[in-house]
Amino acid sequence: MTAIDRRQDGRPAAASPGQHRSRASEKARDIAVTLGFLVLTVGTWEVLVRALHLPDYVVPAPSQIAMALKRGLASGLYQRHLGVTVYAALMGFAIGSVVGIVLGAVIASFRFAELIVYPYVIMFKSMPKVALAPLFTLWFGLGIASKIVSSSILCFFPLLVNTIAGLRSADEDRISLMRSMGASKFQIFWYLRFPSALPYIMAGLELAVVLALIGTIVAEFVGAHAGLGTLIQIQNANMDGPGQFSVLILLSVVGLTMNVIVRRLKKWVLHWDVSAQGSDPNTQI
Amino acid sequence: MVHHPHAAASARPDRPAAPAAISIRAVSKTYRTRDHGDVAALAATTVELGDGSFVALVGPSGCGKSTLLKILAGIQPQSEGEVLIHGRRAGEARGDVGVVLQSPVLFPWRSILQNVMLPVAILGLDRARYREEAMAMLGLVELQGFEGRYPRELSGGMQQRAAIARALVTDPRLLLMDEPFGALDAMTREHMNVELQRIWLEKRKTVLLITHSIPEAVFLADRVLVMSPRPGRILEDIAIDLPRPRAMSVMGGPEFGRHVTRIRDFFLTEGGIDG
Repeated sequence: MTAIDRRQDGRPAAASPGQHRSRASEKARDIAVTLGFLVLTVGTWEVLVRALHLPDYVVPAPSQIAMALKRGLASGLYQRHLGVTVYAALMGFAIGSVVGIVLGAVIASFRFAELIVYPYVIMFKSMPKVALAPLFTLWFGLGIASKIVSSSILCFFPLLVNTIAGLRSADEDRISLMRSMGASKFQIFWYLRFPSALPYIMAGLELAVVLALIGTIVAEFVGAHAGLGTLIQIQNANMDGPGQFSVLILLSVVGLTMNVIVRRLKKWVLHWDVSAQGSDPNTQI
Repeated sequence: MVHHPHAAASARPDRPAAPAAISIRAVSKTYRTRDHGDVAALAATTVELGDGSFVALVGPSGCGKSTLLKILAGIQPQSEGEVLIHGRRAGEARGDVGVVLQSPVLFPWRSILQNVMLPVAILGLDRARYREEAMAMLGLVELQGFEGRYPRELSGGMQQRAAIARALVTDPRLLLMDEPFGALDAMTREHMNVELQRIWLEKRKTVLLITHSIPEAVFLADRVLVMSPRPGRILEDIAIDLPRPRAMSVMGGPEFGRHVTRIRDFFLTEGGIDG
């Protein structure tokens, strides 16, 4: 992704009028280059696996992975597990984000809340939260609850930290101006601090949407009745290499989709913020 | 809670004897700092501003001009003394004071019209009625047609005009301006000076203008107050009796030059002015 970023930033900022017409063909060429390399890589992979007679539980051939994906989707098995994982991830994302934003607002607004809560936040912030997954399974069982808790804990921290930073980023002159208008503390929050925090909150959501899936999958690894993480573990135990790879592809499609949705949301919410409107490689491809 | 500025404004007489609208009595400000102890920013200052008058305040950097303005605007409290704005204490005159700062301080997520309407929202006034007022103010500052735009789409001068429209929308009787044109280029600044005079002649607000530019002060004001270096106090109160409306050409006249020289001499003897 960074390679794509760099290439796009490196391109001359403004095309001259003459170059304007060739924009479409330039884009078509770019796509051809990207796809061409993909075909080359996959083809080489296929040939190497066959030529070297690699066992499919170590490295399956792309054709085997495609077959496994087709089988899994045709039987409805993948959809069932996918639904469980996506539901847990989205619930965790929603709960963790909302709690993070609300608690962040409370900490940023009331000094006593900061004094009481913030020390624990600092302590837990630097802890690798996925290490809590076994405890959540112990406390909340093998069902979906432990996945939602794990996922929401991961989403909570970036939203909490970014909301506090965002609310404190409100411009001093704007605060002064609002005071001169006789604005109350709540009005300063509502008309100034909260909108000022939105770019930070949206950046937090972008981080959280990735973490939501991680939190869910890790909790599923620890123990679950259903979900893509469980499926991977079963496939792993059965030495089903093509199956595991096909689920990984499914997971990256889910991750990418959730990411694109959050980026769209960000562009819409921050329509007034020029820095949020930059070209976005994920939505362009 | 909802104060209606229009009610008071319409009852105002035609300023026969220019009664004191703003009364500043022995107001001083001392900041407490950790490293340097108490720092006196503003020495005890007493001055009265007549209703509908245009007063400019000039002085060297850090002399406490902005401190005085912030006290009048209710942004920060004075250490000692008393401020009365139409009989009410500073900070209690909700809706009766408009403030314009050096930068436009617009809210980027609000359209120009929404920015101008901000004081209306804060004061909880009737939005439908004030929407017309806001459109009229945008017309006054020659921004008609830009109400749906966002601040980033406007030039610096246009943004500052929007800030003036915002300061005027609730029809406050006092307009406080802190270096409002300091960030603009010289050409735009001169144009804005002429515009501000036009707006003032039309609206007749009491204006307190802080500026670094002596010609700007003389061009716009009825009275120029000259402040000393920190801790600031008012050294001189100079009446500018040039006829209005003043065109840019008055700046070349001998009377204008005499006023400018006189004010500049204060700074030369008192230790300079920058800008």
